[in-house]
Amino acid sequence: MSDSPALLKPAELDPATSITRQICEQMDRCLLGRESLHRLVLTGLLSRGHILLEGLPGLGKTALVRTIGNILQLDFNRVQFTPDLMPGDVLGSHILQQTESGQREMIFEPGPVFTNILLADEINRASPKTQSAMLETMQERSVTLRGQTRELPQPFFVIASQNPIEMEGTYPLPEAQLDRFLFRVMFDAVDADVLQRIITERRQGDLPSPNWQASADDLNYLFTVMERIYLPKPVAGYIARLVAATHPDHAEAPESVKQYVQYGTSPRAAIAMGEAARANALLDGRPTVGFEDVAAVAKPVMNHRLILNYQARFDRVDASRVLTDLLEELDETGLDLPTDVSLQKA
Amino acid sequence: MSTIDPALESFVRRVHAMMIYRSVLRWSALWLMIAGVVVLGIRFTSDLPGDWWKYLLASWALLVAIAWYRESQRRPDPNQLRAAFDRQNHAGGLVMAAAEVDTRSWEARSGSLALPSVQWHSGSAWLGTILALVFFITALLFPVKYARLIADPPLEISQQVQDLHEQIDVLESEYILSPQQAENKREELDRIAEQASGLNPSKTWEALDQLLQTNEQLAQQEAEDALSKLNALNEASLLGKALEMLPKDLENQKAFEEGLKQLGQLMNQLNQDGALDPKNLPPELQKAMQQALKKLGEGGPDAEQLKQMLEALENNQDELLDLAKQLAQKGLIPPNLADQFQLGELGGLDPGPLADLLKQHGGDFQELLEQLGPELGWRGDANRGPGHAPLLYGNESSEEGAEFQEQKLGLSVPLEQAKLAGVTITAPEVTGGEAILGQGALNTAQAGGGNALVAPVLPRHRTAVKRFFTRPGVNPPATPE
Repeated sequence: MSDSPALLKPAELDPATSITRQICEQMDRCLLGRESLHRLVLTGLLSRGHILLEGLPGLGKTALVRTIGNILQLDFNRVQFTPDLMPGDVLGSHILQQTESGQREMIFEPGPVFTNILLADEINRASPKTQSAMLETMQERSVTLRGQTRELPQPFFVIASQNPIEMEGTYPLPEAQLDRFLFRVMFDAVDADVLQRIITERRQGDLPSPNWQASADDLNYLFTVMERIYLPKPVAGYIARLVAATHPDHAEAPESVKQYVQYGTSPRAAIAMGEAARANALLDGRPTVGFEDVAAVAKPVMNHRLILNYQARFDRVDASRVLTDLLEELDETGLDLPTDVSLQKA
Repeated sequence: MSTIDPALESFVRRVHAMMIYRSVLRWSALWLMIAGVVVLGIRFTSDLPGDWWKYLLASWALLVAIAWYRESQRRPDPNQLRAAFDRQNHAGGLVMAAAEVDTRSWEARSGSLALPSVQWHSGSAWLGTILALVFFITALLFPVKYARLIADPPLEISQQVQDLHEQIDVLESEYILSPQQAENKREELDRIAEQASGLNPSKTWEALDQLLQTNEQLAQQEAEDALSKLNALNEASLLGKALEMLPKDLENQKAFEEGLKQLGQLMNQLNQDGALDPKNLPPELQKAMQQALKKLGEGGPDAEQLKQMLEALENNQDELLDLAKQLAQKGLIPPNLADQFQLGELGGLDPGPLADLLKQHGGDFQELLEQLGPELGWRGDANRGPGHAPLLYGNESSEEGAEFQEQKLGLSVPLEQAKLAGVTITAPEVTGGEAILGQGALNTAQAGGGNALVAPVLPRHRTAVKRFFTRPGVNPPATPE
């Protein structure tokens, strides 16, 4: 036990929990009726992951990203992806300029990607060429142009959005691109009560300014604490079994996976799930990751990574339903008790 | 030591105990069923031992020990149980982390951890156990009488046994069986009756049939022997009565002497065959019989002795008839054999005509016997056949005067007058006499039609077949010479 890393002390974790709670409160105050979504987006950011938002126009995707940037005091850029958008428009380009000495040289003009939070709006409308230009920035967090690699500012997040109904003239993201996103979050419509509050409190759609903002030190402290959230071996084993069970030929794969899944999720999904579960535990103010943290992030982590077969299309089965079955049928503990024996909370 | 550990250990013990309890209850149902079957089996075959419940308890204790050992071997992984304990308490991984890192600083916050309950849906197991228990109790309390009836159903053979006993009694009383043989048969019969079982009736029936068949064979053999004696007695009695009916003036004549001699030979033969059984005669009659037989050897009995002799013959006849009657009543001899005894005295023959014949053949008794031989059942010997004429060897029969019966033969044409009408491999073409041939069954038959093997000519072969038979060179038409 002495060789094991020391667990966070309450005194170390409590300030981080306080910061996350204040961030959530500010987000909830600025954007009404999106509490669970705010929590999930913050989980993604703490995990240093990129998020794909999927929802109809006007649901507040841009407002969400702008609010986060405002609360965290991070630079924010928004790029509206269109079919004629070129990689240089996103990454930046070299421009021939005359220097003070009279010489002409190629000067790099950074693109909008050089920011902390990049909102890639309607990312599926850009051509594959432009989409693939995002691969390096998302994975390596750097831009290489003309043989020169430039690091992006830290932290760097891509929050992309895509419209699920207007598919004409779009270029669906390839699997490699989708796999770069930590979460795919579905943006649902809000309730009537929330709408009434929005109508009353948000005239002309103006967002209120946050009355508290996290500093750069706060954010760095959160990332430092995140590194020390402990992932117990049984939970790591559960994540591994969960990811393995998304493959149809795996022994523990449930019937729905065998029937509807063509390819399961990648090891990158397992890494992402572990990180996201850590962030979820931090938001809950716990120094260790539990099974419930994994369950909370499993669907957003894996729903865009499962590749379903044609049978799923015929039966109108989506990834969310398959994952629901998987989470219900796979025992977290791996305890092989007889089916007629169960454990109940006292 | 973490404060979580005691609660965790208690949880592990609880899970283990539940698994043992589950195994014991499920196995007990099976054990009760097996015990019930064993108890039933023992009660069907013999009696339960006095301390049977000790064996029962010992075997159940062994079952519990095996269940404990098996569940100990299959005990879940402690880390998995720890994970389950964490999950049930919503400890957020703290209990799991306690096995790997120092979590004491957080245990005060987490508060006391509740012990999860281990629930087993034991309804079906209890139902099975209760049913097995009911079966066991039923097997234990099931009336032995019915149990024995099930195990060894009776076979109703009392009537057959009684009939066989009566048959053996008859065979013994008629001296067909000696007392020792009769006793052996009775013992065998009793043993068969005792071992008779409805589970294997064929064995009993076969044994009874075997015994019955043996009795019948003995009785039939005795009856056939008695029948031949009765026939001989009938002959002797017939002859004796015929002699008795002869007129007195013929008594000293040659025929009478010859008759007495024949009678004497018959009587001696009967005596040697045992037909004149002394036990069938009263003492004074036995004595007279001895004297008569002695006189027969010397020349002939007198009238009184002849009378006593006839009386003795009648007694023996009655005895044989009585034997046949008893055997027939017990079904030991077939009815047709019993019917042969029904002719009664003298075989149904009247001695009067024989006496008349004797008178007519006054001096030649040999001639009379030759004439009456077939009627008396005499079948001849090496020199004499059953017919009236004696068999003569060495001289050929004369064909003089013998004629065959004339027989009129039908009209026919001699072969040398026959004419060759033609040679053909097909049916001959008849140009004349259609009226005669037309009446035959083969009137419309074609060549080869009389063969038993009728091969149908397929439509695609018909033309080729027709062409073959119409080739003028190969198959010329039959032309009469």
